[in-house]
Amino acid sequence: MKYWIVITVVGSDRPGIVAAVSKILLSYKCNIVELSSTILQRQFAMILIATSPEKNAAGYIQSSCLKEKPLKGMEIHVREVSPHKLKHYKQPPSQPFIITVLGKDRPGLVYGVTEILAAHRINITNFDAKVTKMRGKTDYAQIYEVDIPEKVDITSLKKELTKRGKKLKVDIDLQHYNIFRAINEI
Amino acid sequence: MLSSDEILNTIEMLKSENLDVRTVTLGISLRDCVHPSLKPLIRNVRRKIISKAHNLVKVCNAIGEKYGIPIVNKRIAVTPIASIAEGLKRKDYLRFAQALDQAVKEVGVDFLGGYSALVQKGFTKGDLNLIDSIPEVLSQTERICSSVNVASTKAGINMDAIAKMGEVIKRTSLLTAKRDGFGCAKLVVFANIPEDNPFMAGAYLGYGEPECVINVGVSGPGVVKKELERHIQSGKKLTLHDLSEIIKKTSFKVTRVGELIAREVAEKLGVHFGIVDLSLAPTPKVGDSVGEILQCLGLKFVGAPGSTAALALLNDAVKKGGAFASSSVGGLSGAFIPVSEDVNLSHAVGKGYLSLEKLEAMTSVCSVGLDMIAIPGHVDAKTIAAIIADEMAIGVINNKTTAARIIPVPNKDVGEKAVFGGLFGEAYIVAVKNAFCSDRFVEFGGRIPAPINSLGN
Repeated sequence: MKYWIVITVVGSDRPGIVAAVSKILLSYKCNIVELSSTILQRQFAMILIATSPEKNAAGYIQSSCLKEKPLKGMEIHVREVSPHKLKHYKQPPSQPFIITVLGKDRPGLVYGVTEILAAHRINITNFDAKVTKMRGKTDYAQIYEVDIPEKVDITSLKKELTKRGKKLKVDIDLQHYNIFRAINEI
Repeated sequence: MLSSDEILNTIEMLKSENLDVRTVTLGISLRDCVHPSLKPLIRNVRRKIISKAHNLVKVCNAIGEKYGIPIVNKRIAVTPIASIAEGLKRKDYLRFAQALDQAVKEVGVDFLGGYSALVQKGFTKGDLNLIDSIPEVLSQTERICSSVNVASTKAGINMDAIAKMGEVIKRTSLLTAKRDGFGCAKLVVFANIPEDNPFMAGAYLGYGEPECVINVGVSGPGVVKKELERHIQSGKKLTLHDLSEIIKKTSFKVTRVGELIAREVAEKLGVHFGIVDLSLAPTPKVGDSVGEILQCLGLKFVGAPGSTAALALLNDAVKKGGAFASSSVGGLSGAFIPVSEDVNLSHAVGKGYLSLEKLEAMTSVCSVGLDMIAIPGHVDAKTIAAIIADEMAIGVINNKTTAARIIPVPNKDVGEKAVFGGLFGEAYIVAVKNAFCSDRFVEFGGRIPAPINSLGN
């Protein structure tokens, strides 16, 4: 029998965080199944999914993490989940697209775009926002990887996003994911 | 997994550099339509074109919209009409061409290529009838394009055909005199014509091609120019080798997009995908010019010494990038230098920087040849034939495609401008030096023998 555990770790970045968490998991005979981490302005965030041979191991793992010196000050949450909650969101037949938002940073940009996406039941599969240099000047860029249900009319969605971009004074573009693959992958 | 830099660079390329697919050309075989009588032939051809192409524009627009990359032109190429209409009487050719024109109009396509004959070694009765009918057909139809292959490396140069084409070009020009000889813009004379070229006016469906096939012409002089400018402006020290690399990589990307879109069009139409022709085809728009790329490579103007070398670099880099991007490269594939369709080249002619002789030299290292070149209306048919013969010789000896699309502009001379409009653009008239001096050469006729391919110096 396997029991599924989800762990999230957030805090100031420093060496040794992943080693400390994985050491504790090993001591409880847990196996790491999937892991993703990122750093935003020195804030480290990690989410991992592991399996444990023991029921109710989450509480013990959480206590061990809080005692571990390299993890001092980190926000750590460990919880057991039922396997059906780990299944992917069941998407209606969809096509992968990328939405980019380029322009001056301002409050409300993310909501301005995601409000439209949510209204069309468009699922975001990856989202990245960063300051970048484009066209010789520094811009704020958001990149949404999304699955757009096939019943959504791409032309009118494009118009809607362009209109929203004008209102927010940013450029919003929608392009099929295959174009990026064709151009960038050998 | 794509990086955010790759995504943002791609967006910049797509947005600010007007990347498009220049043409999707549906090749349709008309071999099963042959009939010796006009009416049944028209009926068969109409039925075939409409059944195969009725969805072409709709599908191309939908896919262009899906990918956010417009397919600018949707066109049709057919089996050389000389062979399809072989059984017709000479008087029926115009009516047949008008029926073709009407069918093409009905499916919403702007041009059909294939009013063609392949006569590099000699003529059949149908070839002669078709060639003779070209002036009236091009002056009395809107959408029909014509090409005649008069030479090949295997067969040599058919000088009788070239002499006829000199006459045909003159007659076509006079019949369309009110439009500055525009009929000649729809007529190309070829050496080593490719069977799968999607670009007009030289597109046709070769005998070795399938029943129905999608060939795509990707373009992108604007994209190449912007990429070069971006690197040059970065201040980094670059050599011509580096610039060639930049062109190659850009050509790779452009070709990939073209192939992706063409394959999807072919799949949706339920026909074969043929080839990607990765030609840099300029349009009269500023920023979409092959001439501007040559200026990026350091020439003050096109026609300056170094122009042929710069064009050779460009042509080769485009081919290398495209060949790496796709295993289905064909057609003409290279850089075009159609004078009226390239604002920079036309300007260089107007200023006297670019002569007919320099253009001829440049065609020895790029695809196609003397393209969309306006010459004075008084130049005679034999001189035009001799210019064509020179261009054909470059193709035959160098084992490559060359072509001539020359437009004598009635009642206009050097310094004046011919205006064709739309994608055909406008061109200053180029001087033809030493005209009326080649009559005897052309009058000999016969065939210049095929060249020897060893001892290649």
